[in-house]
Amino acid sequence: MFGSYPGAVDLSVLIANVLPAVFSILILIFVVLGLILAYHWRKYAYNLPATFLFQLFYWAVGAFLVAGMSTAFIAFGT
Amino acid sequence: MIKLQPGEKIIAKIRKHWLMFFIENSGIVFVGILPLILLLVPSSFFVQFLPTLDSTQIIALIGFVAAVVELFIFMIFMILLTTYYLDVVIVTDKRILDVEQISLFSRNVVTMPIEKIEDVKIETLGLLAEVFKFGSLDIQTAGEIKEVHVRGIRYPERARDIIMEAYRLNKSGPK
Repeated sequence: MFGSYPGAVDLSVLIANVLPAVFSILILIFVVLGLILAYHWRKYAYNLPATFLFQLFYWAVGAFLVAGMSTAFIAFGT
Repeated sequence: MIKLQPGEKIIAKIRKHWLMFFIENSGIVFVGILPLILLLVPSSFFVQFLPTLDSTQIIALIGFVAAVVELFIFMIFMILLTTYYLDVVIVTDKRILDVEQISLFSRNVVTMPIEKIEDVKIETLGLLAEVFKFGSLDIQTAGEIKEVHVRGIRYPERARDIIMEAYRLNKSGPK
């Protein structure tokens, strides 16, 4: 496990180094996927109100989760 | 994007029942609940694994992991929702387009002229299908055009009536 013996991995340091990368990559994936989905809905859905509602839902819920993730990220760092 | 012919009008768009979407993707809803359970675990439990972190950092870390997992599951859910919504049978006054959305970047489109339709068959099997009004739809045509088979569409009787009405109008319309 991650004990205090010589050469042991300090998990907290590992986590602190990994969090920013996970945070950045996930936000990038979220934004790119949002653009891809928006493109698909606009091109193939043939329904403007549904397309609008879908995008509203995606960005609203996604923003809420990203905000939660950011808050936790900042709280972890401070 | 599917281009309509000059003067062609969309009569109806037939989609699968929402219950089919739920049944096929219920696993993702279940997985979405798991991170919330993680939030209920007291932070003192994690101290043994992360002795160098204080309790605030542990709570923040749990919140971060839960938010990451939820965001990831949410994105998968939205991809599945898009795939569900874009899987559609479009009935126009001239043809039937079966757009089978296999995945986000794969789709199969079958087009059949409405005058080639020979038979429209619907099937409602089981109590659930009877209660929630969904069933399968089969459209058979003359010639070598691949037949359309869609599982779990909502209001199959209504879909059949729409197709038959479009067929009737096409037959009686100006040549």
